[in-house]
Amino acid sequence: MNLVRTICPYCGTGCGLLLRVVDGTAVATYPDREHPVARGHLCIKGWTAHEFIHHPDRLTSPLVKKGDSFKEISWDDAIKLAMDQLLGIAGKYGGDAVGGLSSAKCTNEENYLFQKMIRAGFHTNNVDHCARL
Amino acid sequence: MGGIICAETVTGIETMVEETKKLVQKFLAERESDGILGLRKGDWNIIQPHVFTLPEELDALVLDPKWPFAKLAMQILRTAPKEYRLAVICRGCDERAIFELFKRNQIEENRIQIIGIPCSSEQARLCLCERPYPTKLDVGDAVPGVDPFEDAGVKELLMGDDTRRMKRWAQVLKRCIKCYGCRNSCPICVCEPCKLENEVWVRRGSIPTEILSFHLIRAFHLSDSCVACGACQEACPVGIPLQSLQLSMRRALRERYDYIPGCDPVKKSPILGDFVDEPEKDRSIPEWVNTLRE
Ligand code: SF4
Ligand code: SF4
Ligand code: SF4
Repeated sequence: MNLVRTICPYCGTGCGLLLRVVDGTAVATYPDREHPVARGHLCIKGWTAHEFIHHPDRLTSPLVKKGDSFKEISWDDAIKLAMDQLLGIAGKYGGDAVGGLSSAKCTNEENYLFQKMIRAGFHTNNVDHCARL
Repeated sequence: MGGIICAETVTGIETMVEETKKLVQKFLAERESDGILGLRKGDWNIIQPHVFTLPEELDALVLDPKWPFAKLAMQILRTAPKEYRLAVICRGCDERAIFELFKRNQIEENRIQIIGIPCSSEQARLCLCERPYPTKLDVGDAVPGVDPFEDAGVKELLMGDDTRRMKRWAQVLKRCIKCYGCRNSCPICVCEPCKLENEVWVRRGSIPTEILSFHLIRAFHLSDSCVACGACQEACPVGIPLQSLQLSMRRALRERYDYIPGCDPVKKSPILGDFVDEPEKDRSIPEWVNTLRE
């Protein structure tokens, strides 16, 4: 048995949790009683955090919409496509024509960089994150 | 304190930890079990449950804080090969829960071994624990238990007439965010499927929960098996005193049926067993269950 300490990915509170891993598969979540934020408490999302990890519906690569369907593409292609489109729109209609939605599932530092990109790069305050939606 | 090793003093705790290490070492050397479930103080002094399998790991073994192990032990055994045997460092409530799991065919007795440790009186006070020790202690000495009915908070919740108590509980229970943490943490909550996930009883996606169909279903399902470990209450993010919800039924069982859940690995509760001798033929639930006896 292996208990892996990690942080709940669902919201910005960042509760500590322990994933029980059996043969490479996360099979259960336990609250971390020693975690300074959560102190052994979780909400229903935290308690079920192991369920999405290996879920067949989980997206594991970026998707691009072509016509009526989605197609998997690589991260490199996705980033390039997004940047080309966003820069194109911002160049033509101004920075306020674009916006960014970040995620509580990212680290503090990633979110900092993201808002920096939107604010300093596109010159707009159109930036928010999923935990406020 | 003489030669007594107890969980009260720093040296007492240290001695207990050292003695437990020696015991675990012996278990490992004699292959009495394949792993020993306990607490490990790892990198950055972070403590978490761990299954010890190597003697060199034992330096990191600690006994505190309280971390309920019974359910984890059951779950470990379920995903392990049939022949896998686990020893568990048990406080009183861990042992009681494991005994109840035996009776409900959730753990095979020959796959688990219990290393009994006592709790400190401080821990017993925090848990309002009547039996802060397992039936057999392998290290240390037992401290006396606490009478939960003497606690001011418990009195406040359980005293007075129906209407008053119902109002007070309704107030407390409406804080529930339906995280299912109480159900998930409770070592005795093992039903598959769980009634609390059945749309007939508990409506999906709505809070607060129905008190009758959520909290009281759980309370009654555990009425003859709650081992008063407090795991439910400790997992509750909104501080609902869930352990107190079980107290009246625990007391009724003890006083009328001479039965305390988990205190004996074999003797079954009046509900599970073939109990026929009603103490009071026309009334099996004593009147004082309905109010806290002064
Ligand atoms: S409930 Fe009793 S046995 Fe369990 S940790 Fe608390 S004091 Fe110890
Ligand atoms: S109901 Fe609470 S106190 Fe009772 S056995 Fe379950 S977790 Fe422990
Ligand atoms: S742990 Fe507390 S908040 Fe969560 S479901 Fe149980 S009573 Fe409700």
